[in-house]
Amino acid sequence: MSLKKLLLIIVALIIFVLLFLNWQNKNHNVSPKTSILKNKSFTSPITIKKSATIESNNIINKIKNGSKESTESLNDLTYLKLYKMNALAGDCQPLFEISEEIISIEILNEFVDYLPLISKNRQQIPTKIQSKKLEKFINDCNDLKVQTKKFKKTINQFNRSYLQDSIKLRMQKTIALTQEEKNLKQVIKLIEEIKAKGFNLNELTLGEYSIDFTKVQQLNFSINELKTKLRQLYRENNNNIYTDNYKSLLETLRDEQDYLESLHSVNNKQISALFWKHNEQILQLIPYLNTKYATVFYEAHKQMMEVDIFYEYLISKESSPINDKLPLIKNIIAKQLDIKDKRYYDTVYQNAIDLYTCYLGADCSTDSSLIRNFCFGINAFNLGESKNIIYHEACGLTVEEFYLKHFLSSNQIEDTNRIFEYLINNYAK
Amino acid sequence: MQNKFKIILLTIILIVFVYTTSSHFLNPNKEPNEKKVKTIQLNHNKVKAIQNTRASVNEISNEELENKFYDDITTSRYSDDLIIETSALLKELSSCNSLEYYDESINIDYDYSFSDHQNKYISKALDKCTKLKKDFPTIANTTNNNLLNHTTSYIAKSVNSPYANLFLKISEYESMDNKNKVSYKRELAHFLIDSQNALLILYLPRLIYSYDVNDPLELSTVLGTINEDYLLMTAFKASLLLSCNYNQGMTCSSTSTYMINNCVKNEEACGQDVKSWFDFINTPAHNRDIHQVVNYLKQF
Repeated sequence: MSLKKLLLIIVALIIFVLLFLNWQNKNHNVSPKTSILKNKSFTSPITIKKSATIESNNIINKIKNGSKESTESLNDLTYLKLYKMNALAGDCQPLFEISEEIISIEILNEFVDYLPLISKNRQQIPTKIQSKKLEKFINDCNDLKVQTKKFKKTINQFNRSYLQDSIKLRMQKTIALTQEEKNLKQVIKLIEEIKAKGFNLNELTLGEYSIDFTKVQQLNFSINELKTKLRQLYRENNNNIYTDNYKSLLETLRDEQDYLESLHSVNNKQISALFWKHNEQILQLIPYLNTKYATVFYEAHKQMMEVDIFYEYLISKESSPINDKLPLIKNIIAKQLDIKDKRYYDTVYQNAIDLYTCYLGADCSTDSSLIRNFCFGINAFNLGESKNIIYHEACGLTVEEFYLKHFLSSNQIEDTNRIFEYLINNYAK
Repeated sequence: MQNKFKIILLTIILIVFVYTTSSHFLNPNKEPNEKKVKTIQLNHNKVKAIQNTRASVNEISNEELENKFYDDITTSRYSDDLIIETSALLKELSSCNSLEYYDESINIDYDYSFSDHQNKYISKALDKCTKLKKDFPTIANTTNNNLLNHTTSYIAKSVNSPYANLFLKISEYESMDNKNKVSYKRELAHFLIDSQNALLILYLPRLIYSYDVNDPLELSTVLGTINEDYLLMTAFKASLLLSCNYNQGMTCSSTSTYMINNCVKNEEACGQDVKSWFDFINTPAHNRDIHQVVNYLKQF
């Protein structure tokens, strides 16, 4: 072999070695992530079956043996019967708004259109049981319409809730016979008074301006313009707020805001007086929470929750004389049970309240209002309203079955049970 | 002849030796077995090459911004992969932007009054943000989201890394069927978790929440609940807790965005880090659910 040939072979060898190393290096650079991605299975390795825990068994047993006292007579139009009709009319309202006449079953098609938007698992078609339950609901609403045909109509028939209004009118004229009916009628009357006073209180807190409305609007317009300019300047100056320009404009804004505020007056004396009257009425609700009747507890509690939101709004208002929160049941329980995270508390509190009303004997069956709302969402037909997320898993189950099997994690059940137990020990008679 | 052969053989060995060790000499700080995800090693020359080719791409609307953008992200604060670096910085800066609400000299809509204790931590966090904005002026000051997305996509196109490829696949997402959407989300989740980057992990809740596919990471089987609100809340807290393990716990310190948001609402939160805050505020039962999801994500 000549030297030339040997050199050629060696050069070829070098190129081959270099190419080989380069190829290996490239592969090495990409390998860690891609191999992990490829090797990992896409199926979940963890499947935890929720076993019947002590807490969920406790809830089921307690509800089974709960104080279910109902003196309802289904044949006569008793106060209680009318109360339940009124509740159903509220649920049916979105359907009644679509049609004044008997609602056709074809309305199911509209539900199918909404389904992917409102369902938890972006369902495309309703399940068999979902359709069946919705059909039953439509029939119940139609029956209600027939039943109330002879009811005296309220003055304004174009009112959104005219059916409810005419049932309420009938309720007012019906004598409460049983103890449950008497308590329920009392609490409903009290709630109406609370609502009326709350409305006045809200009006008062809005206050008055010493100048006329168009001038207030002009000032507000000028304030908004200043804000826009400030934002623009903020961006133009590369988010720098320490320029003279920005500072002087901000000062002008503050001056204008102060000027507008100086023209605004709120009658704090009047507000305080009305607030205490309102407060006294709300305190009158508390005894109604200590009841064996699910209906009475439900109404009193619902109103308490509404007041809680209303007061939070009042407290948040600047220069509000109201700075004290009422000792509401929700806040008392949170404190007693040391549940601090408000958002988490919201995920267990309402469920515990629902289970407690089941314990008191409320309708928690597969056709109850609560299950209807989970199964197909009573707001499904209400275009403008925000829609609840619906869970087809709820259809055909009772409230306790759905909550304990599907809606609450085992750990959530533990906290729910603590609230449930607290309610039984402190409120159930 | 034999001597010549030996010399040539020695030369070959020398060349091979120099070649294999040169990459290590060029990057003395990089451990060969480094666990950190560094998918591509972009050196300065490569960036320059990208910058030079950029001029020929017509779709870029603001060339100057592009140039400045590259100056920001070549600092490799979190990764040499430009797209990982950009994603992490965008997360960090957007967290900072949300804190600006508490700076009364900027916020013209709300009038906050904080206690000295609250102010101590709020101003610390805001100072940190001011410094960050100074270090990354272009990204911080690009307020046009479309331009930002466009630039980020452009960067992703110019690098060839697994994350860049995944990132670019987002444009195909809407046309995917549900099965592929779920696979894509899961693949992205794998990547974010394995990145061991605290800021990237904070993108996880966005994957878990979806308007089109249901529970892509199958968290309902982990927790035994189909309650969407609870799943999201727990997934968010779990992702945050998982992120605490990386980047010196930057996302969980007392001046992190999450803790400042809590400090503003509740003075008890001021000065606490995420771990101690969770122990304080969550019920033991809720904490068990959070930890269950953390462990699940770790194995994902």
